Amino acid sequence: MAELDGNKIKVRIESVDFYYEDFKALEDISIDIESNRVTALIGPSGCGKSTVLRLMNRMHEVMGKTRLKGKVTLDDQDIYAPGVDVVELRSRIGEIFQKPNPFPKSIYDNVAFGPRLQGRKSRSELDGIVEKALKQAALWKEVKNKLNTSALELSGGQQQRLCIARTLAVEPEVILMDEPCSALDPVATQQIEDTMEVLKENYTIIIVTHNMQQAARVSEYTGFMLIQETGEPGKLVEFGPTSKIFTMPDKKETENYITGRFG
Amino acid sequence: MTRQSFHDGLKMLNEEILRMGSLVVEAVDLSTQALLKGDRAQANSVIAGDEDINELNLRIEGQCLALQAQQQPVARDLRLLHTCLLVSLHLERIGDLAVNIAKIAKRLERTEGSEPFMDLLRKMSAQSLEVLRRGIQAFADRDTELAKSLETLDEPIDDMYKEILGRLLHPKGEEEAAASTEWATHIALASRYIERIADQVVDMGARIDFLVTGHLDGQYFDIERFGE
Repeated sequence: MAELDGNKIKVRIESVDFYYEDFKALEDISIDIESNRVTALIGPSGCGKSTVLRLMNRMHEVMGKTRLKGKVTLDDQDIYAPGVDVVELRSRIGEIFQKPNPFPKSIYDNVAFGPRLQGRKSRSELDGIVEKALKQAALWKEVKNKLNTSALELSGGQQQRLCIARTLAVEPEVILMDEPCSALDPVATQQIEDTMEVLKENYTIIIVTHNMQQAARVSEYTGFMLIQETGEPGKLVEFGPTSKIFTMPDKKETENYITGRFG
Repeated sequence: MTRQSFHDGLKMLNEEILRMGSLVVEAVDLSTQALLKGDRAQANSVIAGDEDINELNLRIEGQCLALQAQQQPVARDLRLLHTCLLVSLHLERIGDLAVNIAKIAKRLERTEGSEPFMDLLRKMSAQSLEVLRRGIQAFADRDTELAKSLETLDEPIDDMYKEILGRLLHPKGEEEAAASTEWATHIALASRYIERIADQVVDMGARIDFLVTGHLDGQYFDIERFGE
């Protein structure tokens, strides 16, 4: 792993408490996400990792009544400030979900979907965008001769890379990945991990994963989250360079979790 | 998601290191005694016994490799595996030094004037054995203070080694001056081997500090510096 000299902070989560209605899901979360890095969030189920992810593109707002105390910024701009355009925010911060969820359309139309919504309609421009996105997602070679076939005919791993291409097509700055490989076989998982390695040259990636070895392999920074007991809010126990977290974590709880002396 | 069989494997590894430690203590004790007493039979038993130490070292190495390949150890488990591998190697080398001492014990002729040298070798041996015992204790108890104290305990051994070399080069009196080159070489080598035993233990001590604290030579082991 290369030496970390501290890239610019892309996303800053500052002293955030977060509530679903009256339930406090997160307490006092502060994380600085560096640009052009892969940052992983690990921790047991229900510890709030995915909630932290969704704070960053305000996706939790589609799930009902939520409340946030504290501050989340993207390039130093408060994303919860009044007047922030959530649609624009979500085009800057894309998300890849646990299960590949391509639209029941052609491969081409899946990738062109976002750009078309943004009003980019010329065929030649869309052709360029589709090719570039599929190349970045390391899928181009496999699909270039069948762009008009249904996305649903692709394998699971190809579908997930298609979803990455669909996200890339709207040119986001940050990509959130919520367990992106949990439905994939080891080969497809390796392809996604290789893709992440290339993508971080141009994007900032935050990944939530249950697979600690995956976090160790792909990320430069790792955050470990935990809830003390059911019903308690999730907290960030430790955050630091991945190589340090996996060789000499500072906190006992982190050590117990990653070495399997937990639960 | 506790990993019982993995942690049982680590426990077993830890016990094998301690078993190897006691074999090595015995080898050093017997080989230096053989040297001081001129006991050839005892020297032979040390030489024969080294096979067990070597075999244990290979076993430990194999276990470390298998656990790393199959269990993806991290944090203190990773540090333990790494430390066991290196401690095992240090112990194996100490075993080899005991063999070297035993071989000299078989060949060393007692001559007039050898007594002051034998006296120094006796003191060096006792001190080296003490350092070795403490080093193994420090590993067993994960005692970083004890591990750090090894370096200080090693100093008188280095001094005695230098004294022996100095006296061989600049003999005092006729008896010492009359010593054969062969005899002088044996004494020089024996003292060198005894001195090296303690050095190996001091290096081992640094590993114990790393195991417990993640520090190497008193500094935070900044893994970022050693990446790709």
